[in-house]
Amino acid sequence: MTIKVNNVSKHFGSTKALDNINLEFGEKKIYGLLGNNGAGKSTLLNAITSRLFVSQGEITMDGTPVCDNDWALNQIYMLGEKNYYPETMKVRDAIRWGAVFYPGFDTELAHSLANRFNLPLKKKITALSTGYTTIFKIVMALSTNAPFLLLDEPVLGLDAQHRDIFYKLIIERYSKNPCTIIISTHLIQEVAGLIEHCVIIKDGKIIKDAPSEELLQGGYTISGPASLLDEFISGKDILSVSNLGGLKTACISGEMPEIGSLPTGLEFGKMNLQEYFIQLMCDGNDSGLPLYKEEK
Amino acid sequence: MTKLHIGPAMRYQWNYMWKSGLAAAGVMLAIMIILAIILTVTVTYTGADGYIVEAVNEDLNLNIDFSGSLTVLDAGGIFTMMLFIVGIVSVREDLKFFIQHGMGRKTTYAANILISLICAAGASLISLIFLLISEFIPLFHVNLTNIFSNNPLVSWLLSTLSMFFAWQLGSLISLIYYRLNTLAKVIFSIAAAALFLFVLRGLFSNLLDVLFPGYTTFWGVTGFFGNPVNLALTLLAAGIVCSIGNFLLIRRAPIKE
Repeated sequence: MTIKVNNVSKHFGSTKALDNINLEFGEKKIYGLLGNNGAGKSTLLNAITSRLFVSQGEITMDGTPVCDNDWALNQIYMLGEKNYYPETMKVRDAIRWGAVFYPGFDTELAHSLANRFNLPLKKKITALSTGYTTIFKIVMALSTNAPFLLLDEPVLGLDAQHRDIFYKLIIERYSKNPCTIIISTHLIQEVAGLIEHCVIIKDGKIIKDAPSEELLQGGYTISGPASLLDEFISGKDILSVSNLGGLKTACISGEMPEIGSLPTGLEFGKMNLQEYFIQLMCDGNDSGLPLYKEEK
Repeated sequence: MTKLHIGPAMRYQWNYMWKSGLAAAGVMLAIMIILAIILTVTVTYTGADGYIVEAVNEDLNLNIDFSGSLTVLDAGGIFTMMLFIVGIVSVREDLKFFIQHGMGRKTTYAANILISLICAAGASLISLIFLLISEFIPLFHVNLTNIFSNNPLVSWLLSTLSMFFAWQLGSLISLIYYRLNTLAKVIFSIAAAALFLFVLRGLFSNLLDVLFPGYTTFWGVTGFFGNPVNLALTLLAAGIVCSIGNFLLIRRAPIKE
């Protein structure tokens, strides 16, 4: 089962939120949908789940249009930022109705997760705090057993301990019952270990759509004393340079050189997803360079 | 593959509606019993003259006349108001809730139509039962001056159609405001007020006065709404027009707060 996004554009007045997007979300993979604020991540997820209509193009599931198609929409569960539950609905009722609408819904799991997070079942959803609202949505999302889970900012308002539990639960859920998970988040470093495939979106356009490993192999970091590093990086394709105290770090595009070829005093390592993302998002002159000039 | 999953949607709506409906019926029944007791104890019935009821309480030095138009228990009217409000409130909430649970707009619309028909039929049946019960309670027989009560089936049908229309009208108003932007909402509100104050008032005083008296007497009933069949058809047509409007508004409705 795959979701295909074909030539999709979405305009809000004169603003182009999505610009001719082509994507494919395959079966049983964890995707990271990364982008800055206003890049079009939520718009894309909302378009996939038919919450808004695209201006151009089509989104299909196994060749069938997803838009207003009950069968296709029932294969997707979206954890969104907004709350679409009635004001008077209690947590326990939402769990009960989840089982009515999603045939694979695991009520037992929902109750055990609610217990684990101390989620009050008798409380109205609208009366929950931001953190607990997120927990409630996580409980619902993990219990639906839908083949596609779309998680838009899934850890919004969660403390570090609960975020850690959430990431573990995602892994647990994926290993027990593999499904396609699309995570849209700003906390790239935290989800980096989960993501198999990255989709990076900027100004409504997809600028990268590749497996995480492949992306990160395209660059490396090197750090050491400024004098040594400057000499080494001269002539190389520098993505960014940062300076902290006497230690300078540079991100270089290209294949990592052999360890033996490095001058003594310099260390290099793999670029992580967050660094890669920041470099990709930077425009020429603000490529990670320090904001303040060094004092001479 | 593209068929509507209407079952869960209807089950969800019905779950909330039957509880609200029963609660409303329970309150009305309680009022009916309390009023029956109060009126029996405190009011002297002199109903020989048509529907005039005289209330005499010498202790309080009261002497009040109740006319036949006093409808102490117009269950049909109460249910109609209730379903109008349900139409306003439920359509947006259901649209959001269903899309969150993998149901499309067509399903929301179809479920809305079916559940409004079922609820209207059920509520009008309850109000008809109340009407018939009230006949056995002293003083409450004034309710039976209700225009078509001498034919329960027609009364039920009319009541059902008026409640269906009320629900669909409520949904239409709600969806119009949901789809419009702020400026358009203001313009629409002013235009609607002007329509009610000037245009419709003119229509009611002229057009309807011409139309309704033109209806032939049917089922042995006479009065303002001379022909219940024509009235039923008018209500049905109005309900259908509103539901078509609802379909046009809901089919491209984005989901927003």
